[in-house]
Amino acid sequence: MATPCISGIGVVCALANDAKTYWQRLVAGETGLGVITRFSTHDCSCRWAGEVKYKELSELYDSRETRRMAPLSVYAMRAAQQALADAGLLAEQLGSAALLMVTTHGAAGFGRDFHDGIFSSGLQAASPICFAGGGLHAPAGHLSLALQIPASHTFIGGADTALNAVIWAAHQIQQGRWQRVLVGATEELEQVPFSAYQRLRYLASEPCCRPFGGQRRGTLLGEGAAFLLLEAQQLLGKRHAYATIEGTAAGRTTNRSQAVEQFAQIMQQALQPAAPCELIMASAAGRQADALEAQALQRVLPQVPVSAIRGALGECFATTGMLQVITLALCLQQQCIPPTVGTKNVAGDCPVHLVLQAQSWQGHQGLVSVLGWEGGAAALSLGQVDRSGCQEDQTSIS
Amino acid sequence: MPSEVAITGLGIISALGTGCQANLTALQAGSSGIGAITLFDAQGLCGAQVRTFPPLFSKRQEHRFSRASKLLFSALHEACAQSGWSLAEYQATRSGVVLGTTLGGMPAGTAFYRQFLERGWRRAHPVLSTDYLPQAQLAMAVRSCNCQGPALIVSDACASGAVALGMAAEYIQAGLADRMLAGGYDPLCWYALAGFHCLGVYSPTTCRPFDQERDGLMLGEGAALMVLEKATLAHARQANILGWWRGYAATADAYHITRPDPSGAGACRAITQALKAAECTAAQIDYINAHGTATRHNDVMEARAIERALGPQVGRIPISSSKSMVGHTLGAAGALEAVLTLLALRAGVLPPNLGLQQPDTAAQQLNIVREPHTYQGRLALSLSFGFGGQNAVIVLERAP
Repeated sequence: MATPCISGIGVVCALANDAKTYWQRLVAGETGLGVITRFSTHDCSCRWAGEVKYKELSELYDSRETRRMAPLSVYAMRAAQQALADAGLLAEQLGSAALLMVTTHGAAGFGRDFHDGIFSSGLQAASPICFAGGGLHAPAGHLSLALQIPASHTFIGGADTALNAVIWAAHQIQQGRWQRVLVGATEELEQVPFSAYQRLRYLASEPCCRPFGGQRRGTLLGEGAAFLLLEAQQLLGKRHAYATIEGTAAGRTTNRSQAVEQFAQIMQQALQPAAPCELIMASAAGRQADALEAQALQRVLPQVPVSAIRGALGECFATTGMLQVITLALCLQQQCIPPTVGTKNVAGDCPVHLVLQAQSWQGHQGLVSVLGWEGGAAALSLGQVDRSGCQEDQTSIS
Repeated sequence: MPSEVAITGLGIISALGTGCQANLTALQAGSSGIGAITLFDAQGLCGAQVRTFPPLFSKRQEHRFSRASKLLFSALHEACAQSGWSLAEYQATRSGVVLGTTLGGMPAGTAFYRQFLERGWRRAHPVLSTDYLPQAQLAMAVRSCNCQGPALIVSDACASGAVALGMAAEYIQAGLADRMLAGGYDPLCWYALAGFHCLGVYSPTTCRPFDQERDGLMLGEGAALMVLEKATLAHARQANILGWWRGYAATADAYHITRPDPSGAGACRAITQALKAAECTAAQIDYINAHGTATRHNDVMEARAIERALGPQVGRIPISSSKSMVGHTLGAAGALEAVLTLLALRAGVLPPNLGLQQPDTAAQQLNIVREPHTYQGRLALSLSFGFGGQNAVIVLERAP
């Protein structure tokens, strides 16, 4: 059975519009969170989020092309192209490949503009651009068209769905259905979902979020796209790879009383007994639910260092799930753990060994844990690539 | 060797009625569910609206469920009851759900956008925003079935329902699950009607797939689900096997963001790959349930793809599009038409392609079924060719 490995990564987020700068700023403990400039927040208690520098990105593309694409499609395009370039492949070299996209809210901006048109002027005012570009599958449509990928799918869901997408892709490679799968997630910051989360009291009323932190008061939203190219290890040749997929598990927690136990079982299932897990990339986002993840981690991996990225980027749902995978792959390659930005003190109800300062590390295996929508949970273990006998090109992010 | 997949439950709700029997009776009679839209001001345009829901909902559900959830729950209830889902033979962690949709709970989304735009965010009801997301319907389905295995929503345009079924079968074949509830749903809504109208593909008259004078699609709504089980386990519990999942393939045209590739190359690839996956030939296929949207672009492309893929068999195999009866149900279409196909195979009936007067020149070679009639077939293809060239093809076999 083929071993799936991550051979290319692409990142667009509040910290950076490329993976190299993302990693540098993350390790330096910087935050991408700031005052929202995209829309007015004058009567909101939350005024902060992790915005992508959109202008910088849109200048890379033809303006006629970007006018027909919602921001999340532009983010996806950029991150996917980075992942391919990072893997040392041109689109035409992809061969037997599939595309798998994940989004949580889709193109909410196009959705709002479309509705605005039909509410004000009826059916005749509907915008074909907003309808075609606002469909949930539109980012995948744009990408498969640009990269000429002969199969594409879109999953809808949160961070756990991002891991489910990686799991599905890994199985496709293991079963020999596809040699390569470009897997990614994309999300845009938009006023409509933002205000809904504000109404649902999901958001912090301070300019930071504190994963696993004492006095955590909610999360802040973010946006961006994250892509990875998964391919069968034997296709690598001399090209580099970040990590191999070692174990996967996904499921659901059914109720509060059993959630810790069920989430712990999912993590346990994803771990490979042959090698110890030495780092956890957690999904904590500064919400009360962080305690559930912490307690599950304590049951399975009590002494293992834990890092969380949402304090630096905000909650970008599926995109942050994908970024957790990318960040752990970078940790394995760079042998370094980034700090948990935003958290100063670990909360009493979160018994984890949280990394608060960047530290060098010599690890071979790590775990991504995600607790998502409505009890959806997933875990994925990544291992260092065994390249014994291979001569590797050092074209990686370092 | 991948596991064989048995179909042990079917659930359906469409404009033709609620449940397998009502839909089958309408197929046999050649009835159409297309009529006036009463859910919103459709400015005189027609569609295939579900008129009544089964009396399944508790008071709380009646109040709390969005239209999308009601459609989905109706199909779920029937499919699970038919397969004996509640039996204890299966572990919850080995049972999952895959749903296809393009709109999720869009009627709730439209209501939320209206409140947001007209009254401001503080007066927009947050429950509408959560009902809008397809995750709300998935969560309802997962809770109703008590599943702890894979749970996914697929949105591959009008092929979503077929892809959801295909992925669910792949989960079983790969050994990742023993039993899956899968299919698609989409509610009729103003958003989709306005969208297809502005693209110039909504029919002002009626839905006439493959006809020379066709003038566009007509929206419908509904939900359809199948219970797929690992065959060895279905046999072991002596389940009533309704049919066999024989194969599936999905491709993308990568041609245009909305239009299909006019040559039909991507759709042809999906048909040939599905036949290969099913280990059968065109000569063994007894019926084709076409995508047949009645748009200018789709029907010509589809006729070309079928001809290229099936070669000399094309004039022999009866073909019809159910959209002339149930409308275009978008994310539900692939699953709804797969369920109708299996119902037709089991009942020994060929569903008609209503409204056909004079076939389009591109479809002259097709053996289009004009009237319902009895027919004994075993294997059928269900074709789904979505917006922007998302293609999925399913091969189904009637159980003896």
